[in-house]
Amino acid sequence: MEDYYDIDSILAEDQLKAGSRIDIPFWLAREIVDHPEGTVPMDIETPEFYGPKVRNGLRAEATVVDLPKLCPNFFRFGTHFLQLIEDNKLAKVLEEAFKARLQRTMDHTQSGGNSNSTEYLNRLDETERECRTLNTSFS
Amino acid sequence: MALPRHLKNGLTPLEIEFLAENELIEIAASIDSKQNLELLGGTLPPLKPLQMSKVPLWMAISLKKKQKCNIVVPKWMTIDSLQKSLKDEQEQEVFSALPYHYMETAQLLLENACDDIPSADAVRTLLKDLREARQSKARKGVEALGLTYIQMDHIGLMEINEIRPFFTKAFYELQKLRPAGDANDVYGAPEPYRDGSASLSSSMLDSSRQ
Amino acid sequence: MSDEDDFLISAFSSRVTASREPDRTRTQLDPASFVQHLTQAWINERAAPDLLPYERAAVDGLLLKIEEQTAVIDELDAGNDTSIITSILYQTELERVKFVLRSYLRTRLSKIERFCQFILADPASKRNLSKGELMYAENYLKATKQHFQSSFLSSLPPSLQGQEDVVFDRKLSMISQPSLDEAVFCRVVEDIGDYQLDEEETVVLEVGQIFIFRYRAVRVLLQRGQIELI
Repeated sequence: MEDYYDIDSILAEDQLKAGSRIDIPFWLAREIVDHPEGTVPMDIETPEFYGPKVRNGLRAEATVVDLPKLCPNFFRFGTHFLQLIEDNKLAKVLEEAFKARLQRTMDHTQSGGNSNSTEYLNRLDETERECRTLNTSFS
Repeated sequence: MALPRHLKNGLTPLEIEFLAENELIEIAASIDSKQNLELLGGTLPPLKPLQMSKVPLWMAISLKKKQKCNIVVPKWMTIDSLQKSLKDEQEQEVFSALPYHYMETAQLLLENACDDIPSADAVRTLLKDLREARQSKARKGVEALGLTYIQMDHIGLMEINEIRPFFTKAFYELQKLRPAGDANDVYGAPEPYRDGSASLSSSMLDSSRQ
Repeated sequence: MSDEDDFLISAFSSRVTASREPDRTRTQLDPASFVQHLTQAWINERAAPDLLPYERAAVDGLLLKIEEQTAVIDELDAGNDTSIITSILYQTELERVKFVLRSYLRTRLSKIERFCQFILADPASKRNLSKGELMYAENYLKATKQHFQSSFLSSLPPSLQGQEDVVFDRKLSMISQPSLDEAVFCRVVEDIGDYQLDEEETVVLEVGQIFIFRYRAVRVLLQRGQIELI
């Protein structure tokens, strides 16, 4: 039986030339990278929502970036992505951004629901939303 | 389910109160127990009328309810001492050195032995101020998140329980954002368990239906 | 106390007296410290993500002491005031100790149910079970497997009937296991000095300090009794 994850046959079906760029699901990329039988010559590109523009935005003022618009699971996916590729700078940016936003989230939960705070809370990704609901003591 | 879901994250406020009741406190008993109190948790010398004894808080409260003792307010809970703690709390970055169970103990004493506490209202107000000052300090702990540890000396158990869900979740998520150095994986992927009798026989199924 | 609770304790006590295995705990416990020891064991068990070693000495010892104390209380019940007060105090404490004991056993049972298959398959975890718990875990696993099989799995195609599949050979498995990366609050109970948390980070641990750590980083300190979870 043909191997489900046989990249050669996937590529063969798509008739890809060297240098082609294709979108594949993350799980498949992970399978290919981790495949015990040798390597498929393939580079993984960093998704745009972890690209320079977003990184600069997060570095400049993390709390104003609208994460759900970029990726609803911005941080969760980040942890998976960072297991696949080595990018210490991205890890650092995500860590700092998460911390800065967490503090802001706490303050907002504290101050109650004015329109300003609703606007901010709408910019939270899923993980941040989970944290917020656990912040019972300060609400 | 052997334990309800809500009990799985930390302790409940009632359980924390229960633990605080194990702390020793000084009382002046008005009864004579005549003999040692041989408790499972240790032996206490006899209670004598008008003699100071150190007993667990639960016992003090039990006797107080029967009007068999007066409770001596712990030193840290006097007005002078609380005022000093509040000052420390406002001036220093770390938590002031209040007892681990200060909140629960104070609560229990104010509830059950109010007449033994001089200026109980002032004590109550000071405790409230202290609590607020400490809460904002605990909130600042978020700044320390993301390191491999957070140090919070002198935080009370009740205070820990309040911040626990948020802090453990945030800490956990942040750890995951760090580049993986997880070579020291203790478990690895789990193996299925084989007890040699895993296959299902129809007779077993039948008997389980009866 | 409900009937069910009484049952829980009596069921355990009969199992415990039936077992005569050598005690694995390192140091001999002072009988006077059973209560304190088990109280901390209960809190540790509540806070730790994984199943901790069964506190056989403390549980057995306390069950025995509970029996003795119950007899003492029965004797006390004379007509005088002093005895009545003493009796009330003894009974109050007795109920408190029973509460800790029950809560300790229940906390373990809930973990055993949740990670049943993992615990039975992992020799180090399996060693942490008491005899009664081992029996419980084996029966629980058998019962749930049979139940899933007969209630719906049997009507699925054979390739989808697995109950132990591991996805992508990663940690993603149908078998739930404790996450050692969870954060725990702990208190240092003896001076430890420099302690290596991971490849990069060292921390000086002194008695009385309170920390949040990744459980994995301090698991060994808990096993040695140098920290307690809170």
